[in-house]
Amino acid sequence: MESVVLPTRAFVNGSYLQKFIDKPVTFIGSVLKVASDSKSITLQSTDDQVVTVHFHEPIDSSLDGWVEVHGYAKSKGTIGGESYYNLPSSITNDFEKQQFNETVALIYSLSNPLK
Amino acid sequence: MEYEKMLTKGTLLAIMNNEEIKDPIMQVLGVRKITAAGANERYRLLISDGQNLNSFAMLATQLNSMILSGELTEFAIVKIKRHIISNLTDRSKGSKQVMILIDLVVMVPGNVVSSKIGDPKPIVDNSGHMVANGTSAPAVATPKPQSNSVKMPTVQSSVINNGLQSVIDVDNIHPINSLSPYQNKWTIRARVVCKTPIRTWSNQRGDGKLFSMDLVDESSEIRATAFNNECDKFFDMIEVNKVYFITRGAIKTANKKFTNLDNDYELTFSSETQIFPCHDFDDSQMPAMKFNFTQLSQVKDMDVDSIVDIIGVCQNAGDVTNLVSKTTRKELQKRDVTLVDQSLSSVTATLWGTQATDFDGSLQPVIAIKGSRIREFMGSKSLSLLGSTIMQINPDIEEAHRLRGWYDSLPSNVEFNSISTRSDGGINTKFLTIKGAQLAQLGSGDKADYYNMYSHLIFVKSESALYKACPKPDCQKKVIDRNDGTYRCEKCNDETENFKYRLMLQAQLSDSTGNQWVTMFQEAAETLLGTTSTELGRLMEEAKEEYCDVFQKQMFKLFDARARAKMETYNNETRLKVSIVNMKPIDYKIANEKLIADIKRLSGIST
Repeated sequence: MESVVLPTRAFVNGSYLQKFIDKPVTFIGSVLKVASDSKSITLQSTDDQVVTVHFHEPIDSSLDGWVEVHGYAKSKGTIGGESYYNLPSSITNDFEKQQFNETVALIYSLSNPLK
Repeated sequence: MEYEKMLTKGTLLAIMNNEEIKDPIMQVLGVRKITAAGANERYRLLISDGQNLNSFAMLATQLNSMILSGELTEFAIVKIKRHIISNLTDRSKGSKQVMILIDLVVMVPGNVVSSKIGDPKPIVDNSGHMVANGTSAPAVATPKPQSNSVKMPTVQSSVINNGLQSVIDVDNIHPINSLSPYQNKWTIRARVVCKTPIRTWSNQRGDGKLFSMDLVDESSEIRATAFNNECDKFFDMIEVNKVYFITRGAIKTANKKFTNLDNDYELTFSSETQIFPCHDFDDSQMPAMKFNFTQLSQVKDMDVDSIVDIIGVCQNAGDVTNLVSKTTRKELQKRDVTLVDQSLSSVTATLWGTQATDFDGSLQPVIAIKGSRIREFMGSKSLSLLGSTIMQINPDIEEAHRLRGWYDSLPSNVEFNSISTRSDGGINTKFLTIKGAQLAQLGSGDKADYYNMYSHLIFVKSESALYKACPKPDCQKKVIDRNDGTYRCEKCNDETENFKYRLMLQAQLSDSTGNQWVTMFQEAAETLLGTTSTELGRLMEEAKEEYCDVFQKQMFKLFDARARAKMETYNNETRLKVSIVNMKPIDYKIANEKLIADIKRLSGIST
């Protein structure tokens, strides 16, 4: 059986996207708008930037609230989406955006001591 | 000559005339050792201000080392920072004034000066006789004294109409803070702030009884104790909150084990002691009680069993509970109250007896507590009131008014840091990883160690989670099933037909650094499982599947667990036992905030 090395996805917010161009990322944002062809969505990032995610296939057009997107960073404002997960409001209703941003910043300003 | 100018000429006479001179500078002309009663050595000095000399200068014993070390020698020039003039009555020579030097510093060592400065003459004593060989003293121009009385100006005179003047020199009342063992004739005017009941003792040396009281005046406070005869003589006349004149008695170094008053000395009444009530006295002049408040936030850093004075707003009062003392078998009443202060800390204080039953916390009164003991239980600190503790509700003191004003204007959503919280992540919580706790060798000391950890529950021995315990409410002993429908409790030495289920979970916790076997008892296990041991027992007997579900539901979740680690020995085998005091689902927001702060602190990043 062939073994595949899965690339580690990097947790990012809006301002860290451009550091991971063409690399796999995990991005969390709240839905601003679903495009009419249902193939792209506009999200507001945790640090209040607007990011567009393009998918190959049409997605559920009634998407709302907080979404976790897995994909590849394409530019500082766009992501090529592979998959998405609509986060239930029960776990996002008191989502602390500032803490998330702070955590993301910490991850990339410190080396990983466990590696 | 240089040195001559240093001496404060003429001050010696002024001092002996009871004038107050600040830091006079004198020369020591001679040092002689005298052997006082007991093993105490004392040194008598001949001192001179360049104009007069006084051979009745005693060095306080705590300064003896200055002579032994050679620091203080003949001809040294010294600055006298504190002294007392005391009248000594000597049968052969009549009354004599003695100057006791309590604090001094050597300005120029004796071997540098190496000669007598000027031509000092002895002082004429009070009775008009020359102390020494008859040469008349030179007329001395008295220097400007800083105050014309040796008496501290803090004591305010009052008129007494009860004919006590013959015994008490009303104009010569000493403030309590001026009392020291070097005095034997003193009078204080003080308020009795508390009085103990008569206590008796009995040992090899005989029986006895005593009572003590705390006295307060404008200057300070002091503990006074009366033994045996004096105990009988004074106990009935002393009333709490009244003001008395007290004269004569022994002044001793205070034993801080028995008193927490802010005074290095204490009084013991003797047969010479006289006490008179002070009437016609402006009550408001005398403080009711002296407090030495400690902020609540500081209580957590203080040693267990220390005695503190605290003041706080009673934010919350619990109900009175009854319990039976283990040692005396007496029934006791207690009530826990929560106090808060401006340090935004809260503490639980335990009131006992009538203080507990009579307490009304409904109006959130300000409470001042004098002399409560700090206790520690499961790693948290609380206060307990003692027999000697004084509690005042809404006392008329500045701190209380300030606290009231502060509390009343406080927004209602203010959160207090409780130093008495047992399980929650309070300020006294130590967070560790499993490996970290093992490396720190927690639990290997005499006392159990408490710490918190974020860990996943990965295994529970569900089949042995319950045991059958003695049904008596205060007994938790496992019963022996006699297989005839009865159960025996070894502890109560009793057999019954029923039992109660109790929980004792063996579980394994895991984090990124390792695994840890832990034990969880009744309360902690019930909280974790969200059910009662009785209900769980029923499920075990009737619905085995549901019983297993109760455990499965909590599996692999992340918890904030508070652990207690202690070495325990069973059958000569010593091993670390870790039990969980409390375990609750993690609050991610709080945990994340804490981790971010920790990472920043450890890595040195700041925002």
